[in-house]
Amino acid sequence: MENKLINLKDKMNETLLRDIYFNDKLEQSVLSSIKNKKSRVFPFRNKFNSLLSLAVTTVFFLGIAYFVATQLNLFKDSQGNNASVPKEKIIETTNNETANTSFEEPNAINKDDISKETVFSELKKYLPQNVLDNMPNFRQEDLNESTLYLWSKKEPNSDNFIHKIEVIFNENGFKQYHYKNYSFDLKENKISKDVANKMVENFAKSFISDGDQLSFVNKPAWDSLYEKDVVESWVSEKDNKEYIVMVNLSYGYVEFFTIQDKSN
Amino acid sequence: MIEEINSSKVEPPNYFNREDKLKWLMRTYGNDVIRVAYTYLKQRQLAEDVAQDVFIKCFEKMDDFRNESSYKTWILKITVNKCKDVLKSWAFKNLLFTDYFGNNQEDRTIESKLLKKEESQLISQQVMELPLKLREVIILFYYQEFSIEEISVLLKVNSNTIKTRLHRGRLKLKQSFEGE
Repeated sequence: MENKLINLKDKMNETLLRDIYFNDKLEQSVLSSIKNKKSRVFPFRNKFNSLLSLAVTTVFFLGIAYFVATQLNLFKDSQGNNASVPKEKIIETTNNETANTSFEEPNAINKDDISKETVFSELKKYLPQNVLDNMPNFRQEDLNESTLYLWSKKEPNSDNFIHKIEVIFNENGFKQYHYKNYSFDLKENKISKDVANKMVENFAKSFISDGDQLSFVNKPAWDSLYEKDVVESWVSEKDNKEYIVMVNLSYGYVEFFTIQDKSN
Repeated sequence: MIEEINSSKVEPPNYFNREDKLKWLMRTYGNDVIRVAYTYLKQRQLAEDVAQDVFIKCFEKMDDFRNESSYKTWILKITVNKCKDVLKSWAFKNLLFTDYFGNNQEDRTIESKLLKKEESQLISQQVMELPLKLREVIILFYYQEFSIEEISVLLKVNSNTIKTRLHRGRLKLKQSFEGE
């Protein structure tokens, strides 16, 4: 058998995979998706390292200058003004890193009455407002006893999405939700894990039947989205089902939700 | 079709900016990514979607890549994770399965009629029909030519388990080959 598996790459590429390749269209599509991101987020990130080096160097030289000046008693006259920068100010700046987030009370959506209006209205509590203001397209697909609601915005004259919200449900209620952002044009709104935890609880009350009875634990799940301290996941188990809700901590929104059988 | 660059050239030049690096990654590993995705998902459209998502993620995470593994291992780890999440997803199991089944039946009938005696075709199909856990190690070991240790890191599975799955995979392939 081992002999037959030698050159498996050539064998599969010549037969089953002969028409499967990463073509120019796919490459252009990827480049197009990152175009907006490049123009907004990464110019800062690219410069961050140099800015950091510059800041550290400046602080270092200022420190030496201060030390030398102190030794030469150049600051003698101004010693009485040592408290000109109040400590409280510094503490205040640190505390502001995490924005306060207040929540609107969740409204449980009845599984027999899932309309696009109720879903969209409820999602407003879990997504940034500038996202929801920019979802011009809506599509509904009825497939195999399930329904897909898809809100989206595309690049002008293109099939490439800027962002989209997918919600899938059937007669038993919601099955999956995913907000995908391809433009990264979001306002940073850092939230702590405690705030995110509250957001998850509220989301469960809105979208899961008996969601108020679920107890969520913050632990890694859903590998393709999970990113420690950036996109965190909360998991709850009940009646042989696993409920996963994922929150983007950097931008403060619920990114993903799914229900799956626990055996998975 | 984009020309495949020799994978032994594992590093993009240092003077490349982020976008150049991304293009380099797509040209070097694009076919590997989409083909590995296809061996997991068995649907061209889904494999294309996954490949796009993988490269977008690579662009986002490029600054975090620390050369602890090769670019190929890093990028295929993202691909494998993405494919597994798609396979787990409720949407895949409930909405898309019918599509795949229909297409697959058709492909299988046509291909088996035309190419039944061709060994390459036969072995490729038999690999694709292996259960996922056996198929992925066969693909990563024989198709992508990763070592047991690399597969162990990539799949986050003990290397002895990889060896066992490889053995079981080969055994199963042998049985189905003899059954033809």
